[in-house]
Amino acid sequence: MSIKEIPIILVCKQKEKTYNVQVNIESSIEDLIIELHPLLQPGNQQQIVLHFGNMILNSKKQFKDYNIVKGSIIDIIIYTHGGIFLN
Amino acid sequence: MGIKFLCLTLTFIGVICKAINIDGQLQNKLKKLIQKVAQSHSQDKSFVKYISEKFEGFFQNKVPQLLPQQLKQSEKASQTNFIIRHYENFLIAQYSNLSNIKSNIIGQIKCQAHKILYAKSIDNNTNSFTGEGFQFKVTYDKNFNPKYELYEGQFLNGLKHGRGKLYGQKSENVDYEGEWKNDEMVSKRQEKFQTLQLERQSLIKVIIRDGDTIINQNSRQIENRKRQQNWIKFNQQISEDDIARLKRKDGWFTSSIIDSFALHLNIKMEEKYFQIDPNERKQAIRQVFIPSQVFTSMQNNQKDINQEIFQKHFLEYKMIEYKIEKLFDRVNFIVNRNNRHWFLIQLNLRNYEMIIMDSIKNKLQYYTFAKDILNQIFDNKIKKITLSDKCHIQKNGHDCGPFTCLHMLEISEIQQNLRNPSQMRDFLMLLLEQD
Repeated sequence: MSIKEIPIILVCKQKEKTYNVQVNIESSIEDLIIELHPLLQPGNQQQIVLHFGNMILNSKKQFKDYNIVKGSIIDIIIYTHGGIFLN
Repeated sequence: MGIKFLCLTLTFIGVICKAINIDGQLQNKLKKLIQKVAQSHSQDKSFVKYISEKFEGFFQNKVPQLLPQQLKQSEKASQTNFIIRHYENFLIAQYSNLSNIKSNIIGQIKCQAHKILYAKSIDNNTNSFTGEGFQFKVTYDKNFNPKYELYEGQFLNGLKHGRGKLYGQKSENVDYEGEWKNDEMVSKRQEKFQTLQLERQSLIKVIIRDGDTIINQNSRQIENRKRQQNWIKFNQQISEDDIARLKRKDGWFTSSIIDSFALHLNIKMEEKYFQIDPNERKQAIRQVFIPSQVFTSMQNNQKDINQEIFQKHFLEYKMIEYKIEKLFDRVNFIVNRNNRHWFLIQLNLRNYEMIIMDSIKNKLQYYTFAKDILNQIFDNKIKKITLSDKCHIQKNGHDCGPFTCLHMLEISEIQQNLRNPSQMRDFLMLLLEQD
């Protein structure tokens, strides 16, 4: 089976983390998000999403569905929430 | 001679109209006529100056909703090196001093709803630009998810034609560089990047490196755990949990909910702004909401990173060195504090006053962190923080999200009959539900 892999850069500004990642362009976005969960450990009920060029990547799609090329920078966004501030 | 005659004729019409106090419909027709005449002579600076001075106050009896309470003429006049002219459905900004701007290919900017064109010279009488330029365009699908297009190169009659570069979405990655014909790429290579051709058994492969160290290598099959259903709307991933939070009436708002609403308002405000009559639009307030993820990613004492985040968000204004104050009057930041609380900051780009809209009464000092961060973006121009006295006050432990949305709605001046958190939750539920 022929597999295509590309190196990309993942940046999470919220956690001040940068990762060099090698991904199979046929793997889904969700595959990568699942791998990121134990690394970034977002809070309870918080979601991780990926953005490329200010556009959200649909977790059900594959990397090849987007024009993501070698060296592309993808932003990791951790969703936040709030109701009230407690001192 | 011709221009003098036109000036005299238009003045005469103006005096007659004032004397007989014409009705709104006729007044609108006259405004359009004068505007057309002004547009056709817009290359003549003295004529445009005359028209704007003589007819500005006279034809502005009806104040559009986006207009400020007081006239903002003095504010606009401060933009000495940036002259903006308004036309039907678009505006053209022209530099009188290019020394501040890095790029030497632009002299004018044409802004319309969801589209910006930078070029040396733009003809305001035609919608079909020919020449070399830089274009930003955003289109939305049925779920209001954006598709961005950044193109730099040659145009023919408004179409990409000749040599040009297309960037990947709103990024600086070149997606295609080469020949264009009638808006189409002439020959897009199948693979523009080097791929490693490997033989593997596993379909999934993700290797994550932190520096030189491999910290995660996935060779296993992805576990078949139950995943929450989600969908994409307004450029956010919406989940069943978001809908449940809205339904419950006491659920905390997530950034996906609040940032969806920001894009919803941005789309509406942009369209509304360019629908305003050109003579009135010059006094209208143009503003934009910045999704919470932008501010959340910024941290104090990280000027370079904060500027990078801001510039990435406003990449379409790269050609004017991200000086959005040239084209916007207000920029509104949605802020999440410590993953617990939502509030809104309105930054007035004319006097750099930071207005806080918070449903909880905090002391002024509570917001100085935000001032410090934003000052790194806006060259330490922000001196004053004001706590708005027009805020809704929450009396529970869960409504800062909906109140922040209500504050956003109120300052956007988009007409929507929503008055309390419950109504806002219902509205957002309908807006964000899966089709």
